Amino acid sequence: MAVKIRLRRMGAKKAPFYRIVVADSRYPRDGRFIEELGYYDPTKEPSVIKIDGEKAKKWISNGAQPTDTVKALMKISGVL
Amino acid sequence: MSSSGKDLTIAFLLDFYGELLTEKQREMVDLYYNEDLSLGEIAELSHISRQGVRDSIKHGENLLYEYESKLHLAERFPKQEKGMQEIQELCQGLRYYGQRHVYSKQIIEMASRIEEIVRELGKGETADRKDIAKGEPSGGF
Repeated sequence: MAVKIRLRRMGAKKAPFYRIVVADSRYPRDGRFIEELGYYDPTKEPSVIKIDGEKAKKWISNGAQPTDTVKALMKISGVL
Repeated sequence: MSSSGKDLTIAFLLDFYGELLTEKQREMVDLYYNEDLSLGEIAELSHISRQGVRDSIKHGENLLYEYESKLHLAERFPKQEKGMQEIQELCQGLRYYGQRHVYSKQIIEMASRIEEIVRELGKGETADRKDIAKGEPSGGF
């Protein structure tokens, strides 16, 4: 089973807000996720990135694959 | 579509112009930017080639940029929202003055009416996304 760390868009139209979640790559779109690691709010100025670094590192060391977008956010927030 | 993360302004543009894309384009751009799936994952889900997915998304993106360059709805939206909010705050202030300082029924009524109009104008602007993304979850494929 491939486990990914990805963004998932939440919230209303024209008000983007993303959760950073650990999810099974086989079931995109069904709303299920294994764990929430944080969120990304691009509507704020400057945008807000919140990631639980400990949990994220644990998941990555256990083989979870972050998407490029999540990797970029982790770099910005200093988790990676 | 660089390897250093996706440009999420596309997701914002999709909220404004998504209905102008074909259903297939909209679905793919949505999966790519709002669900953060990879091209390979979308290809597998939709049973078409990775290249096909890539072309479809690229085309969708180009259309979204083109609409925005002509209509500027996304660019204007935050400013409008901020203005609407400020108007509402000012109305609250007006009502306060109309009650406490120079009692005036007219001022209070006008402030309330202005607020009503602002609410009316803002209605539906930020509807639930799922109402717009027709075809919902995996049903599209």
